[in-house]
Amino acid sequence: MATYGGWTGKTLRVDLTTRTSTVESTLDKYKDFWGGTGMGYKVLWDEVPASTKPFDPENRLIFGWGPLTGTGAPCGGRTCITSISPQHTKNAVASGHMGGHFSAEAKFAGWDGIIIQGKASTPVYLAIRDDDVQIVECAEHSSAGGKLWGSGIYATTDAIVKQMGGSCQVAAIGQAGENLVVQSVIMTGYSHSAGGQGSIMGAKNLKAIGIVGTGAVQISADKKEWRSLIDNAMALIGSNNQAVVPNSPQPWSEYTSNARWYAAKGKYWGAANPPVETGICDPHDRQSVGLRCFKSDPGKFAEQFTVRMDGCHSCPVRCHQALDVPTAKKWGVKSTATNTCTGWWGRGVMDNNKVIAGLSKQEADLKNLESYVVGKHMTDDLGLHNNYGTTERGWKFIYGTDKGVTWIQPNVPADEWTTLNKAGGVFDLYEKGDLNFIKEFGRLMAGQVGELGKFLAGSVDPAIDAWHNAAGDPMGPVYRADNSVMYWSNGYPKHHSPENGGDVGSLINTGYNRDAQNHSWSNYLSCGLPTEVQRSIADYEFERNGYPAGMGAAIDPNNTCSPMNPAKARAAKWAQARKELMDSTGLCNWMWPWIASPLKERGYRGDISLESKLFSLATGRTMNTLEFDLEGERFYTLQRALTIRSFGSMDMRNLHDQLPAWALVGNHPGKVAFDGSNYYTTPEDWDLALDLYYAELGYDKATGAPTRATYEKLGLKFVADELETAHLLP
Amino acid sequence: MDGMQQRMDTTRDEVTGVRVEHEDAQGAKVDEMSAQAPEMEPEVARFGVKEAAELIRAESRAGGLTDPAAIAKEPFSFDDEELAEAMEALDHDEAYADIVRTADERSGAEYLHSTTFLTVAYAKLAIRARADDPAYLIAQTVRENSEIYPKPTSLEFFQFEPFGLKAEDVLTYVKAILADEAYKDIRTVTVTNGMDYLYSDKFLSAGQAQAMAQWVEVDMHLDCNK
Repeated sequence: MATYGGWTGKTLRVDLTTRTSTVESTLDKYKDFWGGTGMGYKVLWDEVPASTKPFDPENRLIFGWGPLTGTGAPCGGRTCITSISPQHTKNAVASGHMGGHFSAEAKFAGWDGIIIQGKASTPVYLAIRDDDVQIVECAEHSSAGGKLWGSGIYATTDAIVKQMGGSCQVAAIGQAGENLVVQSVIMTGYSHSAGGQGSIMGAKNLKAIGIVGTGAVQISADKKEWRSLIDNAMALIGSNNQAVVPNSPQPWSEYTSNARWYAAKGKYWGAANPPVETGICDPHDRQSVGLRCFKSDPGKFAEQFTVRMDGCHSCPVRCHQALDVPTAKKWGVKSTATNTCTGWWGRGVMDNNKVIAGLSKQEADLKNLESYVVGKHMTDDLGLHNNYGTTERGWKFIYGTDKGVTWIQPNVPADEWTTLNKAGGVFDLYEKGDLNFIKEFGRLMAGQVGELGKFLAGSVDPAIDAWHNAAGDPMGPVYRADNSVMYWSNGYPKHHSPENGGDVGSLINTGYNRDAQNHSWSNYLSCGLPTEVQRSIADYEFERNGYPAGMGAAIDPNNTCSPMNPAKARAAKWAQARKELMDSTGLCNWMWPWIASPLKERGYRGDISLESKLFSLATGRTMNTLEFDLEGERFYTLQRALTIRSFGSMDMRNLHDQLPAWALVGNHPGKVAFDGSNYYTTPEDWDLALDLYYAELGYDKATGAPTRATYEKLGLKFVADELETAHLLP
Repeated sequence: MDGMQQRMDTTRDEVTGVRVEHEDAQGAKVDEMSAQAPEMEPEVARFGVKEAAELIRAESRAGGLTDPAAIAKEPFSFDDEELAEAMEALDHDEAYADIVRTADERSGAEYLHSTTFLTVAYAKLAIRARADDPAYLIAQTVRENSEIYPKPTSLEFFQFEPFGLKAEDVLTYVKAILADEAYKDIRTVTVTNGMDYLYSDKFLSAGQAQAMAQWVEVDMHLDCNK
């Protein structure tokens, strides 16, 4: 039995400049800053000066997972990729996340993380087989589409798997990343993407990482005890995004909801052979967990085109939809396509009314579905990122109702404008609802073709501030104020912000340097249980685990906001700490944590101590819930310190933590704050929210910067010392 | 066809991938799948309360309710005294603690079910559906949802089991409800994609219903909310 388990003990560091690799001791260097973001933030703090730019060789790209990866802990397939972000206006720290099987394979290969630094002189990829690490010239590997560098993600993945063997997992960039498109991804498994980091790999001339692992993960726990805890977790699991209530009336369920538990009698994976009925899915039936979700992002029509639901390593909740749409082939793409959620974003660049104009209902439904398939193939093969809807919404903003006359024409050269408007050109395809527009859009963006291509490809703030209308008025203020764009700050959109929990959602979103990618709290609000039941469970579960009483008061139903209170500050802090812990254990924050369960006999209570128990048993390092959450608080506060350092200012309150104008009720005539009809707040309430949140975190009230006492409490004295020298400590 | 229920009596068009209904061998449409009590082959000469409980549980597992009158019939053939004894046992014997009676809200007629497989809440919905008064079914369910969650209710909700109403029929019933004084608390909100939701103004304001309906119908499906 391992005395310290979960970890392999080895972290790989690859210097692409010198083309060397070294092995570091995970526990010597990263014991207190462990896993995906824990290690990622620590590496950036120690090794990357604030003046470093994302594409500089000195920037690090840190692939991390955690001690629960590869152990069989449910929903443990995440990889967290941390770096200085090219998307962020001030190039602050940010992470991308991808699912699939890459992290598990890396653990089987014996690695707790991979740190990439430097820049290769020519394009390369990494071929890792257990201990053997090779830096291979792309020019020495040809793929179906030509040389590896210049190929799409599909051909790249195919080629590396063909060379390294069928169990190989690949993380790759497409042409977008190669061309330093800021809005680009790193992708694994053909459909699992980490947004915003692709161009960093491109800047390092790193095309892909292929990894094969033949080992196993040792854990500290007695295996029977481990198995018992896993069984316990599986008894409490719901469906995608912690849905614990089915979407339609089910005999076993007391409630129904709009949560992501879509299985029902008469609902089939219709393209399976034979079709698979998802059925009733009683929560006590472990065998049907994989049938529960059946989330069909293209809508009900797509259910009959569903071959199966797919997903990630060790996750029984299959949230990726595998479609087979035969008529999609006429657009020059494969008929099969798999993805989930915003991964289907390519269809969003079309105007749906134009796509279906003049079609019968079935024709329209089919063409809409084809647009999903074409869109997925375009974005996933080129490796494009949509910045959680910003790309599509931004495109529609600049195209507007006047076909780009206001916002595009003044900012592109005359010959480009002519080309865009020619018969069969990009605008013509868009107007006709021709799905070839999606491919042209992708080509423009991935190749940064023309001023339009550069606009779509680049970081949002510089792009929108550089563009103007014919009178010379800048686009930026108009863009940011437009509610349809859903802009938040520093180049990112809202993502589970005030619409999910009012001030709690806003605090969660504001605390990060990119859209928060944080589902700890928003999941619970959408679990499907009645609001009062949610409040009661939250009261019980948090107090049981040592938190102050009354966490239920933090709950605002979706799309509403009530006045700020201390419980909301605690909820925001907890949600942020847990998100860091999910990134650092390898668990999926789109699933964990589980405040609720689908079990009526438990009063629908989940168990927020499960993650700490899993961590304790796997590693042998015992922590209760509060101690575990403190680890997450440490990682989050280090992230805050990195932000302060990159901003060169400790005034987070005014420079970083401000709401966009559209979140304030005063900008919505006729709307009243806190009446249950909207999620807007007031400037006074937001000021109170920051006051309470900073107090909860131990940050200075005036600036929102962590105090020395807080840093030292969290084992970050070295951070306080450095920031004090730089006059960045309150 | 809409995707609400894909039926086993369909085949997949090889060109479009769309599922198409087909006739069965006798030329009649295949029935939709519905909860059916499994046939019970008599293994013993006489059926008693234990067997009655198993029947109830089996029907509940399949999503159905048991009319107490069924226990009086074959193969049980209870006389009145035996039926009363059986019901007494079902009500009070610990071995049958999961067997409960849920009553029709208006007629008082009771139905048996096992809460292990079929909750009281679902039984109430199923009983409403049996009552063949769709306006009441819709209005009362909307009131319940507005009070308990609270949340507005989509019209589409009533196409699910155990209701199984057709979309066009729901529209007709809703029109009648909105014109009926008995249901004057039932209101509608329309979301930005044109879909209508129902709520009871006894429990929700128009603004609250609008915000909630907008979330579940549109906003939660936006890329920024996934």
